[in-house]
Amino acid sequence: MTPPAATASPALLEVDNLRTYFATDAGDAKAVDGVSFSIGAGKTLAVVGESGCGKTVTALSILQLIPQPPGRFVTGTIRFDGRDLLRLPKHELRAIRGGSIAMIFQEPGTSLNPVFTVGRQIAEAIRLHRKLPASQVRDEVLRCLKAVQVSDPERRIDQYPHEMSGGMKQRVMIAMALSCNPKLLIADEPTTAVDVTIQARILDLLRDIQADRGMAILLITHDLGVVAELADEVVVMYAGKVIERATAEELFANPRHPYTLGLFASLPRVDQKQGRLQAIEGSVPAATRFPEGCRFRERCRWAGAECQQEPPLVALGKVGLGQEHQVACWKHAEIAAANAAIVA
Amino acid sequence: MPATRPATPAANRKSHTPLLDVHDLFKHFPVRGGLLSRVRNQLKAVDGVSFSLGAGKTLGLVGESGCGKTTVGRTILRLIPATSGSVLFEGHDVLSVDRHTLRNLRRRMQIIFQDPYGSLNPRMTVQQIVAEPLYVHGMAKGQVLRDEVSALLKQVGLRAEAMNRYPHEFSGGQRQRIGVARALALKPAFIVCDEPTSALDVSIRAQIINLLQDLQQAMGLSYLMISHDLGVVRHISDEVAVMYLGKIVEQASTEALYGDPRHPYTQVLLSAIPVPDPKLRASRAPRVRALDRDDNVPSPINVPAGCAFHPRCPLYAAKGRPVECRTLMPELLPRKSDRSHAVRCHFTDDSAMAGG
Repeated sequence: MTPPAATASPALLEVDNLRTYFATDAGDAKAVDGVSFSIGAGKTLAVVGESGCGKTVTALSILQLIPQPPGRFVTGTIRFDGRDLLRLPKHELRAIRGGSIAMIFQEPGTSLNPVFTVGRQIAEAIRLHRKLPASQVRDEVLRCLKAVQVSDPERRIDQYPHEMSGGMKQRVMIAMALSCNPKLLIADEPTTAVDVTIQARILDLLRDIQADRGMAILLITHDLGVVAELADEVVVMYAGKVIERATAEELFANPRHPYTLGLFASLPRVDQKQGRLQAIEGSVPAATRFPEGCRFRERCRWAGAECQQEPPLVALGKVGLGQEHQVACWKHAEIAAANAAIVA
Repeated sequence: MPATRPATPAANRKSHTPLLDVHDLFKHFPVRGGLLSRVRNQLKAVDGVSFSLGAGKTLGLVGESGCGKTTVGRTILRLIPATSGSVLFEGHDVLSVDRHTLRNLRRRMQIIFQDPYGSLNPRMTVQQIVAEPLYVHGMAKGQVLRDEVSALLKQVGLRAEAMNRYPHEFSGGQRQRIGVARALALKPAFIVCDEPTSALDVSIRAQIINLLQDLQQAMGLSYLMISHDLGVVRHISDEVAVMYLGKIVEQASTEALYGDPRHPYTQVLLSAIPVPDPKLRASRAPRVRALDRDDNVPSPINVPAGCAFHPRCPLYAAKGRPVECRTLMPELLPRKSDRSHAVRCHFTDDSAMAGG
């Protein structure tokens, strides 16, 4: 069904200039406003940002899980495996959803249907997307549960979601997502609702599965710790825009946008002692009332006259793994120089 | 009901009286089931917890969901009745005083809740929300009350114009500031902070932590900081207690707890936190893998025999499954080298190591 991957483009998923707006009484909410990024096969890209920055809408836009209306795609292309998802007929899109692109959500408790056994729910995904004889479906479900290291899968397969802990339910969600061998897994805050010891094990699992299957992961999170654990590349979003983009190592070693710098400085660290936290003053503006020009300028202590104009996402030069470090800030050189002076 | 009295860390036996002294606190919830709703079992949410808190100090209480940390906070304030134990606050036992005395004590002890959306009445204006404690306790009315509210709002970084608006008009961080203003209204000495920053974004979280620290400095407040976020607790606490299935398993100064954790659960907890540095990824992955293989954490209804942590304990496995871990609940004992550092484990404390 799927045509062979276009060899000309190395990227598995390419999002270009995506704008997803929502009509509200107060005008258009520009939840995602000109976002571009790409993910290579087998790689992990993290989209980081706080509530309301547009990271979840970006993820939902890829699978077109946005209710229309009030939502609408104003501009953009989403190329997956050589095809533009935004212009695909419904039945082809349906084959991709849950098939070659799977998604897991933050709340495993509410994403599973409470009245069916988990085995039946995983089997449903397999029956919809794979032509497998009915007699083999149960074995396949067991194989999926084993792949996500569910203990005692023969017993678990006939259990209902309420009989399981949060961590186990998230494993079942992952099993369901993996059941059709996706090329891309979209994980929207996959560990936000679980305890920290369970989170560590889920992150380990995602890493192992990726190493085994060479599946790409689009990780949506607000947690910089989780980003550091999994991501190859990071996109930082603020108010519907990408404001910085780099490899994970580069971004953590050398953050350049004042918002990214602020995020790092405001983090209470468990691994070191710190003085007073550097909070970012104010709060994220509402999506219907983004300021003109740089959307961060009202909270930015570096803001000047030029910030009335929208800053383009510009490359700083080639660094690490041949990826570019890009930042959308008029003042980034000035800030870097000032910070270097403080350190020196 | 308590069979054994857990030992109190030596640090708690100082000569001067602490502001708050919790001793042997138990809170068991009956679990009902069946046709006649008979009591089938006991959920041991808090199972013999003792600690004390000095004036102007912060004690962090950490642990995962279901460990009983929130129940400790609510039981101390007598928002829910305790099963047994005592809570001495400014010379009175909160759990046994009459209603009149309790009312007076409640002026001095307050709580800030996790969810700034659920904890503010949407039908009340900010003025009404913040004024309510003052009004209920007959502390002020009329213009004095209005002035007091506007001073409180200023203290938490909100403008006086906020008074006539409703909670839905504010962001999460601003709402949490309103919750803080309400808690401060009666000039308390002690505040239970129950996950005050868990529902907030990173940049806003730092604002609220800084606010809590500033207020502590200015007013000499004591905090019981209940949180699952070990970063926040490290930042704000003088002392930290780690809870597991209703019991404190380790208690120490913040420095000792994070610098030299002795209980295997504390070690597991600390190693599980993702560190925001991609370069450390490779070096720490194996430690996380040392964790138990089953996601089903034991519940406080069916607490394992012996040390409650033994089925998940990497040390128990490494030691060849010693029988005492399976049969005997270790006591919370101070370490010989540091009397203020107490650990509930048969094996991690150096004295036990030397003996065994």
